[in-house]
Amino acid sequence: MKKNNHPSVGRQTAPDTAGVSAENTQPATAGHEYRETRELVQLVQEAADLLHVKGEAAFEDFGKAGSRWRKGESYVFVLDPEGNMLVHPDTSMVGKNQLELKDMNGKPIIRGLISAATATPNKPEGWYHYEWPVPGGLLPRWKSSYVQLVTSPSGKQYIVGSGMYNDRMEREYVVDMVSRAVTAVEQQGKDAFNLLRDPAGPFRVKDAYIFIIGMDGVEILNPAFPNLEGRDLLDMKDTQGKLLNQEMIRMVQAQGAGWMDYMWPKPGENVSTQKSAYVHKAKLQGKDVMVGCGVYLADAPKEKQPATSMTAQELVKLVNEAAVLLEQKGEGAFPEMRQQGSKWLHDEIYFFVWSLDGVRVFHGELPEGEGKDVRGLKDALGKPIGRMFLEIASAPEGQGWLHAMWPKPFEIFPTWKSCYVKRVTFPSGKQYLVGSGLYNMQLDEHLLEDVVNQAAILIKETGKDAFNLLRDKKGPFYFMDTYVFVQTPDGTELVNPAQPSLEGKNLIDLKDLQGKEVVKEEIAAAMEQGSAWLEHYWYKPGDNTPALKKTFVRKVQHNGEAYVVGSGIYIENKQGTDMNKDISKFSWDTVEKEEMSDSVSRQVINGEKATLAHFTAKKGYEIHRHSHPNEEYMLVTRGAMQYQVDDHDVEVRANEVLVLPPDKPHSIVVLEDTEFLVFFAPARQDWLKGEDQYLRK
Amino acid sequence: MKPGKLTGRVVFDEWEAALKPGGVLVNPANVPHAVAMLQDIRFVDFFTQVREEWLMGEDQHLRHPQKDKQ
Repeated sequence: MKKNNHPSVGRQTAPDTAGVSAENTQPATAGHEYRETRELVQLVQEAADLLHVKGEAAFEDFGKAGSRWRKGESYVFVLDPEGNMLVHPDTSMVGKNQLELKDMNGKPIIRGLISAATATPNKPEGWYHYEWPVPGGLLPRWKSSYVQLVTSPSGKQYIVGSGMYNDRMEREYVVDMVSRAVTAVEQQGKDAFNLLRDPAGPFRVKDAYIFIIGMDGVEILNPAFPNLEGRDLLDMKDTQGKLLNQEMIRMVQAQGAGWMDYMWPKPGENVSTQKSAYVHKAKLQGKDVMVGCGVYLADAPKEKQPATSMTAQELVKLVNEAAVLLEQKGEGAFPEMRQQGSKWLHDEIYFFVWSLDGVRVFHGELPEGEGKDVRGLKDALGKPIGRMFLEIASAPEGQGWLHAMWPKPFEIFPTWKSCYVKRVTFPSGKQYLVGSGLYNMQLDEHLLEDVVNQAAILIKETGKDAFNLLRDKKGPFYFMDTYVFVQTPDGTELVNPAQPSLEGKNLIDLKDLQGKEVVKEEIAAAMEQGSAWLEHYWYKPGDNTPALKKTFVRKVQHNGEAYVVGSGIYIENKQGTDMNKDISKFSWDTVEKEEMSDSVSRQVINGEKATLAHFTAKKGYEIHRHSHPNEEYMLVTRGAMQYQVDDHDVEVRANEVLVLPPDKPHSIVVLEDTEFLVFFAPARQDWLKGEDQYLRK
Repeated sequence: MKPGKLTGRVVFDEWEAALKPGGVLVNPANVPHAVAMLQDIRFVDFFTQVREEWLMGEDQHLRHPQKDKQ
């Protein structure tokens, strides 16, 4: 049984994602959740209408500065289907063919825009997303452009569009992408896979990618994890045990397409966030398949309880204890390290021991994996973790962290796992490494400092020769969206694996969202203090709101040359310490439903100052006399119940509200099958601590 | 928010949430917000503490809704 005392968010019970309106048959503007997105679509729609009626004469209207077509950062552009730019505020672009225009990662912008409006039959409109520097700035942001194909009275066709900076994923973008992928797959079969995989193609947007799964649950295409292709994922579960692919197959077979919510941790986070996948039925070589895309929406609810209770420091301590035991007993320690329920083997914790020549001599969870040569072991991203573990254990220090994508025991789909390994010498004198790992470990300041320090040691020893390893996306310095950057003391970016196009550029004047001179401060702090933590604000990936980013920088020297090496993490809003106090949106369709007994289930949303609960109870359910210091407001939405307060009974029926003062003892009898909402102020601290046995009897 | 037929939209500085039947919004204290009703709706709103300003009759913002700010 999963313990979850305050399920502020939770699994979805109905597979039909009630309340989500994302059918692609709707008019273009209807489904957009955000006002700025709706307004952009509206603007393009009206520009297209004008061009359709007025023809090429509308170009002059579009070009008027200060008009609704060109105001502030917002503007309407017009292209012809050959890629000639006809209307654009940058006059140097107008009248020229722009087909070769690319974004900083090589995405062909104009080709993408034309394709969005023309590639899908009966869909003369769509979105295209690319990265572009913000005006007057150096760092790129995601830009989303919406285009429509229009025919002017002269019979000529044009592509009219407009764009906005937007880091978040929106439902409509996902629906748009999946619909186009369905068309591509149905028209071209497996020949479409190269385009779907292309990192600079239209189907790799922000962190999103298109997957294809057969109706038998076998993964057919997965650009992010190609090693999963051909694997049977029918039994894949989310972090709350929901059989994700089975439910998706059921939904797609019943209704052709739809949204499915599930819980999955973001990279570097130990709590799950709601991820939403849109899946659509398609025909691939005569067979039904599901084409889909899963994203974290900007306002996705997040679990409050971490899935793993162990911290990085606790794991290091446990590995050190295992090392002491192995140094004393050697192989003699293996039986106790196989003991289910011991500190060496419980929940998702298990230990492994390898000889330093690369043979796995012990595996706590799967003894059948013992005796194998593990030097060639790779993780789900192709990271050569076998070799990397052995390198860590063979280095002078003989211990360290390695983060890799690895499935949990008995599962197939990988998730981030952080392993700590340490070299040990058995009583026989032979050397081994012992290690264990945590799934979905929270990335924190301690670990980030460790990574920067490791990079600094490497640069100190090998200078610029270290840079390629720092850039290696399958290397030890690139994991969970984290990377290490290197700058010269005058602000030239030397290494930046996340934005390679910045390498060689001088970023000394870079400012954050509050106007702070980020790079100047980082370099000054590192050069003067040796190492330092700095804070600034930037857009968190997937979100348009400024978030606090903490960066650790360190000065390092090699052959008289100084470098500044660093890395950063976004810090979660902690109550009361951040400027962004966020609102949260929930739906009773997705808040976890806790079955407290055969006759009652509860859903709870906790805020800072109050608790809201939704109960579904069967006729005859009783809650014995109790009291609490919280004021209680109870609204029956269906059915009827009876409160006994003092020595009288109060019946409360649908649409009636009962207000109960603090500390008033009361008992409850449910008279019919009933649903009710209860609001408590202040929040129910007793429930948060798990003290709710009286409800479960 | 529950029960009834409901479609509403709550607008914050940088954040917008559309609510449908069964939707719930939790708004921390002092976060400015605006609300637009997209259809005829019925919803339940809870506050803590008591809305003293309503008790004093200061609820004009509910009676003469302003246009959504630009």
